[in-house]
Amino acid sequence: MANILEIRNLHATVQGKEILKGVDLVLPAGEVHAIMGPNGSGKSTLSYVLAGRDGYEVTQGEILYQGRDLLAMEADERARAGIFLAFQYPVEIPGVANSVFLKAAVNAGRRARKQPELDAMDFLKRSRALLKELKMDEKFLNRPVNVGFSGGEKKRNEIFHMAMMEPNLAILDETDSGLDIDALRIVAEGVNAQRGPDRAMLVITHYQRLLDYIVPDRIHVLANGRVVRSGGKELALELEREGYAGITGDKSAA
Amino acid sequence: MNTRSQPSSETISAHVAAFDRLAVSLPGTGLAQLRADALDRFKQTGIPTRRLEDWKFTGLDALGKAVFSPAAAGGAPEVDVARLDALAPVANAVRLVFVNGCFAETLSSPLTGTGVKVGPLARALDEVDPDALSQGDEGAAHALVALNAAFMSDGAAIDLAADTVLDRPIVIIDLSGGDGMAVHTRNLIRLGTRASATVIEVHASLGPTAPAFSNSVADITLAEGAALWHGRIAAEDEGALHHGHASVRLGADADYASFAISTGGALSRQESDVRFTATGGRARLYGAYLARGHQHMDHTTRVRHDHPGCTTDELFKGVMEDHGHGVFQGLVHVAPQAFGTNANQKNTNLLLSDRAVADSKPELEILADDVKCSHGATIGDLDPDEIFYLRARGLDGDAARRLLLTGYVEDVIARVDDDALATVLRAHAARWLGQEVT
Amino acid sequence: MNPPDSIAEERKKNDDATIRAATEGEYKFGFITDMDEDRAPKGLSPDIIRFISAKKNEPDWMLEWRLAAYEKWLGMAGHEPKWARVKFPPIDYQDLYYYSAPKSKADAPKSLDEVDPELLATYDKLGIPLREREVLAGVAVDAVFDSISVATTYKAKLGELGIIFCSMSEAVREHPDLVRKYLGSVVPAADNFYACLNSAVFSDGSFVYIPEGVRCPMELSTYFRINAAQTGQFERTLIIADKGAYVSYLEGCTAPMRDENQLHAAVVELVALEDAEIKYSTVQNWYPGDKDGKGGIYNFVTKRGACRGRNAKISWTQVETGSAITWKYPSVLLEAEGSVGEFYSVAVTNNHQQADTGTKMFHLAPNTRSTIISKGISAGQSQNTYRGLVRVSPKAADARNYTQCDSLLIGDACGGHTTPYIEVRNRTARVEHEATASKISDDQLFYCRARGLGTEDAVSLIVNGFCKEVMQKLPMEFAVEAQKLLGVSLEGSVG
Repeated sequence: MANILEIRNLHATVQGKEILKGVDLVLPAGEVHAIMGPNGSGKSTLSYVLAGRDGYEVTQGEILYQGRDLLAMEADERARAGIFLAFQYPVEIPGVANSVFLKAAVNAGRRARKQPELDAMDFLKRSRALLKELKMDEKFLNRPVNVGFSGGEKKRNEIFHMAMMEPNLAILDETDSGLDIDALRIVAEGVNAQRGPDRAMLVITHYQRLLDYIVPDRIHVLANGRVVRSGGKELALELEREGYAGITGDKSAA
Repeated sequence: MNTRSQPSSETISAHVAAFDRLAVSLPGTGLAQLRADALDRFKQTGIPTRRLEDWKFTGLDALGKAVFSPAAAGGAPEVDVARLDALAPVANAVRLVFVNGCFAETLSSPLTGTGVKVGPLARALDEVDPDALSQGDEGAAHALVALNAAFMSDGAAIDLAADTVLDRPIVIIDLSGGDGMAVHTRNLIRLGTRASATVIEVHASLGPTAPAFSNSVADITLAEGAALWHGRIAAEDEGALHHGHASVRLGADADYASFAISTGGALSRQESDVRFTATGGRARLYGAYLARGHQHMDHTTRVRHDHPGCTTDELFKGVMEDHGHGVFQGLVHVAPQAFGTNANQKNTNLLLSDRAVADSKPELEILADDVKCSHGATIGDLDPDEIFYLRARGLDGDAARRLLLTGYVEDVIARVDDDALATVLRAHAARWLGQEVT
Repeated sequence: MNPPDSIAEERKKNDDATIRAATEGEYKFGFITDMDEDRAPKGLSPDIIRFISAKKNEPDWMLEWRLAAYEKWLGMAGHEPKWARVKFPPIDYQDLYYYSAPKSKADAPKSLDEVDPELLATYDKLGIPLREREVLAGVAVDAVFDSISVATTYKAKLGELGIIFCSMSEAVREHPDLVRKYLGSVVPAADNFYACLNSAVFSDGSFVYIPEGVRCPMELSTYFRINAAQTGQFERTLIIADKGAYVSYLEGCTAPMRDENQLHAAVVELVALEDAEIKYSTVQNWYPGDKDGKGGIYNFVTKRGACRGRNAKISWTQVETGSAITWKYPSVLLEAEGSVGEFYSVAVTNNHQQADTGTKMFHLAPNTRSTIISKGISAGQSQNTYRGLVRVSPKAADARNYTQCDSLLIGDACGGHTTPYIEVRNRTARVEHEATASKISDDQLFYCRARGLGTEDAVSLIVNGFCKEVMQKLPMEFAVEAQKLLGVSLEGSVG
């Protein structure tokens, strides 16, 4: 089975400070892996490095995405190549309708993959179907991107974007934060619907809660910029029981 | 056009004549050339006219016609100490009193101690670096600063060494009066690294004398991490003219906070020129202008962000009744290299009569992209809904209005986190509000 | 309007000036007949004005009006407005041509193959139809242009409703009463240096009259936008909406228009009578000069509308992306009770462009209302200034103004400035002004890019969002092109 993502000895700095200190991780196609870790362990940094955000400098190591050198690609190139980051804090873009934004994004990807662009009718049809699944009102299409959305609405909107864009690699950065239990279930169902043999997901979370709904194939524990433990889904329960300190051996971690 | 330039040229010759007469008696022997040069600059431009963009809303015709001439040194008239207390009701103050530009020793309590020097400037003038004195060389808009440089007679010299925290407020009382009299005081305030102080300037009239022209300049330098609360109160009697100018230089992480209030005089203009000379500085400029009768009050601020990471916060509130005329001009300039600048400017005005006038010109000049700047201005009457709400709670219309006005002014005074200054400001605002008629 | 005696007085002055000019031998060409048929010599003089007027077969009163303006303009020598935040070398007004007939076809490119490829690429991006590209690029086309015949058809239809829509030159000849009544009544000949110059030498422009109670059934000038390219450097437009009438007028073109004349000084006057509404939309995309700031149009325009009757409404919408220098302040005189003025503006500057633009709202009567929404976007080394005046006179009880000015800065070498003047002389007025300035947000850019949009597309999208309140005021067919235009104008400004 081919690997979607291979991370080798990844070191990255933010504003001169080393946050990732040698991350190794292999994500095969068709699998969902979770990355768990205490605050400040480097989880969000990893997601930004994967998405190609400016200011996150890789000083050592390499990342292969479907066998290609990911680090040589620009942020938008990565997105068009099928990498999707569901933001922990989705950004508001005043004046730009969600539908206009998303259609531009979807078609940018389709063009890059030499697929025919969606016309307005197809786009609307697909959008409506997915919004219904995510129990989101159609009015979200016409509202400016994330402007005036509640925390939960923003997160659902991210999953809606993901579903529309059909990525090969989805990175969910703390998608569970700020969601109540009902919203969490809806979001998880949306995510699970996206699982497929050619696709892989990296679910970044602080809490085990989300993993009750999105059951991962493997769990990696990130602490102090390194993967300190990897294991099956039962690792989450162990974390739940013993806390991060018990796993990482670091008393200060919580 | 002739009618405008005429008084100005008269004013120029009057000042030249006065300078010839007074030059020898002006303090600071080393400053003779500085004074002469400043007078030359003044001669080139004369009194600013409304044709200058900077003076668009404020005409100094009254000044031109009256041909004020600078006060000559002379004996100080009697001043009642109770009046001084009323002008600045603060206990424990270090007080310096100037009468028509001359230091009134018997009314003052200068302070000299470890790291602290608070006294009259005239005596220290020979040791002052001329570069520390603004001389009106920025052009025609600053002609009155040039005039002050030529004629400055005395004022406060305040020097705090590094790490000196002065917990007593310094009160400068500047009294002026006399027919056709122009008084040019100069305050020099220098705070060393991490030093902090509160300085309150009160400008008032001598008493039942003819109105004067008070032209006061403050030169303020704050070293790294220094903090100053600077109060300026223009509370002269009816008919007086007031021009105040504060030139402020802020070092790294310095904190300049000021409140300028105008309640008196026929015409007053209070200017603040603030310049950041290093990163991380903070300027808070607050003010209130309360005009009635035919009073004209102008608050003009210019803040130059030449360095990264500095912050400016401005709030000026005006209340105009009768034929009162309020002016706010605020310029925030952000230089190309001043990234991370944060500047917020707000001006609100209440017009309480059919003849009252408000002019506002908040201005942003931005040459850097990584900035957050905003300004806002509003002009209107008291909110009728608010008046109704208070009346519905049993207050009569007059009381309701007074309460709302007090609240309106208090909203900006409340930003003053220095108790002594807040007390003085409230006293002056209350005096004006107490006289409020509808 | 000038009372007759003052006209006579002006005429006498002009005659004097003419005699002076002729006897002092300052101008080499003495008589009109000596002049070139297609182009008057450089410089400005009463003879040149006579030449222009004669070329247009104008009646005497029009010539007198021009000469009077010229006389006033002479008195303004050296008094060009200096307060705007723009810099340019002094203009030698005697070194300009004030009349030139359209270029002969011999000089023009024979086909699009001979046209600058960069220009063609831009037309492509903007989706300009092929036929229009030829005209815009100045290709000599012999066939009668489609839109002109379309125009003729519509003109007949408008005529049935009593609507007059024609060139200014035609109006001067065919509708002298209306022109004499309103020309210069909103922007007096001596209003300012450039308006005065325009009054003396104006080339052509549009004239619109909508009769009482008529609602103009279409957006005027939609079908004429190509013609607009040829109205010349001293455009003069006059639009009158009689009682209860409505008209929406579109000026300009999204395509970059090339013009050999560097100085453009247009005057636009709008008159709205009781209950009438005029909506005036502009897309200005004159040649801005090259990337180093060489060349480009100086666009010094005076636009003003007067609400002359109760509840009249004038609304200006502008999208300004062109010209090396833009100096314009579409204004509204709110002369009658309950009248409404609006100004919606997007001004984009890139490279070395300079824009000093905004509006003036004069509240002169009770219950007048005005709204100002201005969005300035600066990139490259450009300077972009909003300058606006809100004046409430003592008579304007219960006047309301709301102003919102936002500046967006892209890159660290440009400038975005806001200079509002607020002058209130009535206690019952309520005036609110808000302004912000910030850079284009890194977070927004990254969010767009993480969804697969290229940097330029992302900037275009964010900028369009920033301008949305203004863009949605544009008529639909304009809006789509204008949206693309914003993106094209900012190309190369990020990263």
